[in-house]
Amino acid sequence: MEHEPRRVSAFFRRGRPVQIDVDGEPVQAFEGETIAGALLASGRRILRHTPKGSARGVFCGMGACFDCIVEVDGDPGVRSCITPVHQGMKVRTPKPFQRGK
Amino acid sequence: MTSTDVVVVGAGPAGIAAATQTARAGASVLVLDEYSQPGGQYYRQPAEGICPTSSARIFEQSERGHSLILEAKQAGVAFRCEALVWGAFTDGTLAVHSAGTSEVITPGKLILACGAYDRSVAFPGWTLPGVMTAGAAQALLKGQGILPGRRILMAGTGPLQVAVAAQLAQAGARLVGVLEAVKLGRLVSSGPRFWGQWGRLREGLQYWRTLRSANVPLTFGRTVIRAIGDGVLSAVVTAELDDDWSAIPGTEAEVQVDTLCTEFGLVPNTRLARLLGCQIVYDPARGGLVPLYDDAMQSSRSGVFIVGEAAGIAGAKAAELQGRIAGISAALQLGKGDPYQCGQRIAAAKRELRSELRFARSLNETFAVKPGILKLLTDDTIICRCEEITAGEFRHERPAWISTLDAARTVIRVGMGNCQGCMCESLVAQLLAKEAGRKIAEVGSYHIRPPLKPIPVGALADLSEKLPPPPNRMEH
Repeated sequence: MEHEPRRVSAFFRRGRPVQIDVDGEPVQAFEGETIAGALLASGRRILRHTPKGSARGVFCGMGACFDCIVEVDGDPGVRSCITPVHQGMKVRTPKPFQRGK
Repeated sequence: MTSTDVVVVGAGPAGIAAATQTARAGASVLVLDEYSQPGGQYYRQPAEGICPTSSARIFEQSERGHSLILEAKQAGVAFRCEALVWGAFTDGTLAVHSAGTSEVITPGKLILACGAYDRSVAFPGWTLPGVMTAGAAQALLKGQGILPGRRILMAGTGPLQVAVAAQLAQAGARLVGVLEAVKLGRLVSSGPRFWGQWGRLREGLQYWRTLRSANVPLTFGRTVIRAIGDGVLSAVVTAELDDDWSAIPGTEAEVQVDTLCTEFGLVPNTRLARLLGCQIVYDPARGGLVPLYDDAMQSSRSGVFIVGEAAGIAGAKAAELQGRIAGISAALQLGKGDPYQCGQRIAAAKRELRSELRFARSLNETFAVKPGILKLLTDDTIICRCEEITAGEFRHERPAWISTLDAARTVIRVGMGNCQGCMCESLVAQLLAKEAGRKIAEVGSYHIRPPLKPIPVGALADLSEKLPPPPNRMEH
């Protein structure tokens, strides 16, 4: 179930393919997608762990709740649901007990 | 320091309409929006690089939005996207963060069209990845052509969840069902309130047909009471609700899903208005805390207008009409536009608006979240998602003297995190009112301070010289 394609092909033409790096793993994405969208499409539902260790994913999807924050190219606290991907982007998903590094 | 005749905050239906009218009257207009493209949630534009390849129904609103944005630009409206208004100061100056730097803008007139947030209804497991708002699912689909999950349950109340479910089904998502918390009998008995709204009833019927042809059952009087999963969502438990929305014991059922979309209505985003000192009242039939406004959509602060969902939940049509009224009025205040013609156009918009607001009130009251739903909060259910504060901590550690939202925030830290209370304010208000034995209207609101959303410290560094002097503390 996790790996079935989530990208709708019927009504959409994708942007150019790009590759992003998520915690050291290459992830295929397409221009125009947000980080959260690309991660969700690749079957990754967990976007970060809170300081207390609970997993979080996309919640509000409009940049209000800050549940989906990840580290992007060294910047912490980036809202993955409203930030578009770009080629070579390095995404780090916050882990429990390793905050900041 | 940038100055412009009129600044509009928010590029959704209300903001676009307001800006277009002001520009047509001959004033300079700048629209600021936090997202990468104008349109807001309702007129969401597909992301750049992603093209819709058909004129499927799911793109109807995006297409209309696209032409309205073009019209606005032709009228001379300047849009600045990825621009976050994070502060406002007593003299009306706005602090804006965009492209890694902050600046201050002093508008002649200010139109707030900041939209709304999803109302949080909490239940055990609602922080699990896989649980998201229907709005998030819709944004993923309409903006990027991505399905939120493979096996989806929709639960909540109101027509929006049915619309989103129909869109998801059309795009090929597998929906196991749509749960409407309101009982069918109750909906039928509110039927007369919607007499005359044929266009809308027809639209609803179309969604229902789409769901039926996709074999998606629509169930009334039932909702989700628990989300289950080890790290990620794997199942939800649903139950029948009584009239007060308390779960009826013995009616529980477990459903295997990887995604739960919830939709319990919207809460007006009044944060910028509150920061500016605009007067706010509690009106549940308009979505909760809402600003006072006059006939011109002007708030209690002269020169500050509030339109759209931010002025009370009333839908896109009302938002557009309010935007029009505010846009023309702001221009008139600046001495632009022909007073007679403007007056005629405002009067026409007002006539239409009256029936829209009446309809919205009926809708909001019919699908209002009932207090029994609070019983879903077990002691370990999170109420403040950012600070990870549970209902148990709130109930057992709340000193008795804490009976306002602001005091609760200071002492218990609810609403202190990254979202600055957007997500939990209405939820904590309900819980606090219940625990303290007060009315929701009596617990007040979180005090709003800049920055409205987290911004990098570096973005502030170059701002110190651009800011007006700090307000006199004695005024507060």
